[in-house]
Amino acid sequence: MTSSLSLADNVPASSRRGSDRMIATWVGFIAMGLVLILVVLPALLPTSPTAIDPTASLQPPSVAHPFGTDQVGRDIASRVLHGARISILVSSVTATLALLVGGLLGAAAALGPRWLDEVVMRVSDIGLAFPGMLLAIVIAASIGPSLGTTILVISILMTPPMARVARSAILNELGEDYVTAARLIGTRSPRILLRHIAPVAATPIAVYTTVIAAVAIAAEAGLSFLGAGVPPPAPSWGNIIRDGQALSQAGAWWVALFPGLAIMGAVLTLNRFSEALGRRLRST
Amino acid sequence: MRHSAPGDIVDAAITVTPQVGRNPSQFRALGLHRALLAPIILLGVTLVVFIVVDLSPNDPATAELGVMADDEARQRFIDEHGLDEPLLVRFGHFLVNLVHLELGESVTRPESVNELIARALPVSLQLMTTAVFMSVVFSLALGILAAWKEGKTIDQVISAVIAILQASPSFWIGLLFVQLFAVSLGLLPASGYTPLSSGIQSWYGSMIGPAIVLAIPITAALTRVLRASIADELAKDYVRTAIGNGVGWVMVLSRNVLRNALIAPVTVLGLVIGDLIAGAILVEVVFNLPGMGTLLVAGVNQGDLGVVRGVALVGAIGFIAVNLLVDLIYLVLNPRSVNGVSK
Repeated sequence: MTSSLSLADNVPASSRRGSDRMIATWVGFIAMGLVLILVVLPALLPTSPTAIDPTASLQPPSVAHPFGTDQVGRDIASRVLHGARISILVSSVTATLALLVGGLLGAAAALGPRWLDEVVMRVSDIGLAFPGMLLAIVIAASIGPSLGTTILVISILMTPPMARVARSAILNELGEDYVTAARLIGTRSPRILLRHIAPVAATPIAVYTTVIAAVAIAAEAGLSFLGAGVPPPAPSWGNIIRDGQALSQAGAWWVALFPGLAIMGAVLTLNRFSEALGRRLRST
Repeated sequence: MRHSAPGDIVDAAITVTPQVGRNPSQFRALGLHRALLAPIILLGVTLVVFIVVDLSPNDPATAELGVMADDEARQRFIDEHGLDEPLLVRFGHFLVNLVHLELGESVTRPESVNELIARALPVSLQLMTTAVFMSVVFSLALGILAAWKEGKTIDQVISAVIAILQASPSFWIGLLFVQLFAVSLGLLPASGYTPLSSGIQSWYGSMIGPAIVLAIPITAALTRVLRASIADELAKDYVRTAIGNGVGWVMVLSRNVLRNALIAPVTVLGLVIGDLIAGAILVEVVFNLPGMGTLLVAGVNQGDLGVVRGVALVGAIGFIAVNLLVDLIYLVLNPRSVNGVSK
């Protein structure tokens, strides 16, 4: 779950012009996906994700139930669709929280006094020294699994690496000649920070925010699959797959298959988007 | 990895930034620094686990004695276990027990947490080492192949497959794997564990499926890094010179290219240890392997916080130890990194 590894390899060597257009395409694609999931599809698929229909137990995919039904006859397509809302919520709130808290801490560490830097970095060492999934499970076990706990836990886990990325992005620019030049001609520090450093340092921070969004989706699914995330009956991709585990051995493969494909699609999209952002980083 | 490119800011935030310079005393000092920092981090992690478990509304007296226990018995239990003492005093007791390798009792099972972990840990270690071994072999093969054929169809196919596998949750791949190989084809047992003592063949049969599934995301991550670093290395002048002078490809690859190109993957191997632990928990649950992950999840679902705390601590200690080891290996492989750790 420490997604730091995806950083090292998310940025391919080839740098290209036109990367801005690529990013615009991805933003458009993701926006369209969100509209489809949040507005269009719910209108087309009015079945409730929690409506029980004993007469339609364990039906394979059909026109009435495109992704089939589970043991108590709940429509999997509708559950996957509503699970998407939970994934979007967890992903966006986590990325925002980590960006705000981690970004501010990182900036404070980079620009503030030496002792502050030490404190922030040593605390983040402890944060990074813990296998994330274990901590998440322990917290869920202790205070009880819920949607709020899940968001909180993943945000806490993603804040230390975010602080490091932000600190490093700012420090990297502080040593650049253009900053020295700006300082020499008498530009004041806040102006240098906002007008010169912020635009450059923003890209690695944006790349990592996208990575966090993807990691959050996978982490929520994993926790919910273990029963330490979003509790039923609320549908989440992870807990639908949890339902599907027992059913797939009985031959009902569709219950687990479709939410898994949804996770794959969402994470793949965000990973590709962060790669497009990373390419821009290389080309500037 | 190119260390001058701006894109490496993000890498550098996580790993150390290698700079030119070499000094044996600094090298030792850094190794010592890492080794001394590890116990402090361990203490911090232990305190975090203790506090988090302490936040639980579950009452240990009720869990041990049952809801029917009278007040006197409850009070005796609380006194005996020092439950009404301040948090730091209790943490002190906990640490003393920890030093004696006593992890406490399970409230749902007759065995102590020590006994449960002693039984579960070997299973998890076998799973993880088998998976790491597989990923190193597969990713070396795939990484060399992809770097060799950089930009060609086979490279693109490998990249695409890896992107898809990296985006898929391992527990889901595990379920599909069970569905295909155990339920539909009947080639492997669907779940459970056969110890090595009852024959290597049946042990292998119970371990191969989970190990492959756990190895998939690790292989994907390692292959990406290996491909990039081998391709970088192959493009360097010394490779052309060596080949031009008649040194064989195999020799150049094994003696020079891989030695230099392996620095980045070793770091990544350290970074994926967290993913390996997370993946092992999920894969054990999918395949019903009686390892640490299954024990942890059972503890969570039954509210057995002693078990949860014990497993989490052992996992954290292993994680910190492996990270320390990876840091030291990294120093040995790349002594230039010594100067790069300070601000």
